[in-house]
Amino acid sequence: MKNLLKQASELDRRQFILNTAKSLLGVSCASSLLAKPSFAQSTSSIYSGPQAKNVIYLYMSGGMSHLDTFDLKQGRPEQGPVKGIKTNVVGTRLSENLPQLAKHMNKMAVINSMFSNQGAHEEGRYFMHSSYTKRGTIQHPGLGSWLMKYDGNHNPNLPGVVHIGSVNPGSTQGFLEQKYAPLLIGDPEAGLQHSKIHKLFTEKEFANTQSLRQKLDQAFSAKYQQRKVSSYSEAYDDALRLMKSDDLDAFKVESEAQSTRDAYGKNSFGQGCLLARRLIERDVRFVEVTLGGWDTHTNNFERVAENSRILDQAMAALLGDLEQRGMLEETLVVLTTEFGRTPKINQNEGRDHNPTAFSSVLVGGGIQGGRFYGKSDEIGKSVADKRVTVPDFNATIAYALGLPIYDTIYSPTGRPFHIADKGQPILELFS
Amino acid sequence: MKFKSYLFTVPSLLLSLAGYSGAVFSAQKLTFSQDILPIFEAKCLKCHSDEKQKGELRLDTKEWILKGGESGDVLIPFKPEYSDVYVLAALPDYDPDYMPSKGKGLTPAELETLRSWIQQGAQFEVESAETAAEASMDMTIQQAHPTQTEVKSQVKIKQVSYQLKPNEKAAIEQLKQLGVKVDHVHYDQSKYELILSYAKLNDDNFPQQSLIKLADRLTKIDFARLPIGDASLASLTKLSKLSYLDLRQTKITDKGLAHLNDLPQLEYLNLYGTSISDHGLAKLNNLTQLKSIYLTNTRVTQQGIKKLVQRYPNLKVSYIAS
Repeated sequence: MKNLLKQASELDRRQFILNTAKSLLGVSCASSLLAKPSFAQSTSSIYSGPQAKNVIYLYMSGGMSHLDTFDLKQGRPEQGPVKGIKTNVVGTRLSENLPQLAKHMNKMAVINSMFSNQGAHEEGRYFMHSSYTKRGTIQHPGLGSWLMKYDGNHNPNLPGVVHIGSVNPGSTQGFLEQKYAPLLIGDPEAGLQHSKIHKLFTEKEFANTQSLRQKLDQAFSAKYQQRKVSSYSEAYDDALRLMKSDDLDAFKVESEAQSTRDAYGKNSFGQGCLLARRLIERDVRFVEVTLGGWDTHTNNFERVAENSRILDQAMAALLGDLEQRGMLEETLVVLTTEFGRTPKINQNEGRDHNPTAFSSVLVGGGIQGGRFYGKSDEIGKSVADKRVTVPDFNATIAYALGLPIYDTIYSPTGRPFHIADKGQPILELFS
Repeated sequence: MKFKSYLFTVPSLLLSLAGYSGAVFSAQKLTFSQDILPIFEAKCLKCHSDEKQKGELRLDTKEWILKGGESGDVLIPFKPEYSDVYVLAALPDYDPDYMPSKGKGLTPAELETLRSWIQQGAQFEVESAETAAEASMDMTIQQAHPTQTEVKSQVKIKQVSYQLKPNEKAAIEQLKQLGVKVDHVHYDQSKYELILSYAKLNDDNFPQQSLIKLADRLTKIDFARLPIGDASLASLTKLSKLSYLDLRQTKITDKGLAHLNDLPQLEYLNLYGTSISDHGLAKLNNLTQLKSIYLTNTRVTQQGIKKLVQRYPNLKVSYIAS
């Protein structure tokens, strides 16, 4: 691992010097003269523009403090005791809580101008996942289910959307068909439950029960040719295909080397990220991994440091692993949360909810890293520059995936919806 | 006229209300005071004005309408299909979100008026000296509620469209039959990408002819984990547009790598988890566009990489010595 990091940072230093030279010395025209003609048409390169096929979505549940992680306010009393550290991109700082991620800064686009109008957990999570505010009369789909609806499975044997830890509000299939629903893996180390034939059954007996079920269902499904009925038996077919597939191995994190497992961290979020990598390797489209415990109304600084250790180790290992496997070009890694925390430190050494400015991170899938996008004000209370609303953020993810964000989809009751509501993608992040 | 306390201070406005005739055609330029307010008065203001503000929404003046309600904007000029004030009223009346929730709904003619007004840009007033004073009031509201009044213009997404030739269509059909995932590159229908990993393929049933028929369009191919070897690599040489080649965990060997020199556009080459060694790398000598190569979990050594980088000084090499 050390070897890799050294090499990566060397290359990046070279890149950085080149970029600095371009902007300070105006040498970019010289280099384009030197480059071969086909190089000049860089727009056709696979290294610019939206490229994402799959998504790993890391959700920080409870409201991750932006001030103590990605949006430092050094020299202000609101910062508290947290210090900044250097990253592998010269001149940038991340919190000392994220020492491993700082070595991957060259891949990350950190957005420090996130804005939500939802200040409560449940509503905030729902909004972040679905781009719509929660209401009693309709369930909006999450991005994973939208992706499945428009683009389908790539691996016919595995479910397209997997959630590890919990299914967050607003991240279900909503009003879309049941077959786009996420599969929940509660414990990443236990893997997929009930996926083997019971030991008291032989293959033949199992086949017999299946054909019996089909016979029993036959009359019913002939009489009621409805989407709900057919999707019910499709669920059986999917399950059976999965049971027979070699791809079932994807769920076994225990088959990884112990050193790899340790690198991600011996906790369920770390192992969840490792499982996410294994699933994305086999073209599952959208994997969400949740890390809770960010609701730091009391004892903010110790708890954020503790949680950050888990996040830092797992996400850094994930980014390194994806990079080595050449998967970062087509995998978009998202880090987000429902809101940030207040600059004001309360009497319990805590920070309260702050939806008017917070941080999120995008990596891979065509995102150009090594940069901060947007700014919060001098204390981190509100957005000062380039506000990114929750729908804008989701529109950016959808754009990276090539999804038609301006398409209108009608719910079963005839209401028009869009993948990211009225959000507009930030194209700047892709160039 | 049950509601008397409007915020309006412009006398001409009330006059124009009185002169409202009811018949509206979508061709004419509609304005709020003449065409829309009468509809709102009849159908909406009972719950959305000074007396009640259900859903934290008022629809009696421009400022309140632009401020929106508890779930955000209700009016997006030029976009009736995004504007809840229209969308909810246009729902079927049995929908739980249908507006108005009590009393008679908008007639089809009224709905069409509302839709056209939004489509035309949701004009509130004819610009005049009196309305200049209101404009300054807008500014204060905008500052107080920055989220609600800002309407972002739609970001233009570049799209390339392309009509497939019949033989290309046929090739795509054949590949799909085999279980190959065929897709065009995001927003560019003239370029295609394939995932072959889930088509039960090996060197013997490799769909060489179909790939060659698509050669002008094929820019990305993913072979990850397929049991294909050097014979299949040999049949890729005609894919002159290929820029992305994922051979992760396939059965290719050093011998086969020489074939890749025939791919002039190759930018991305993934050899992760293959049995490639320094000898194979030495054969790569004609890939002028190559930008990244993935060599972890192979038999390659630092020595071999050093020589490769001498030939390709700008190449990004991903490699951890095992």
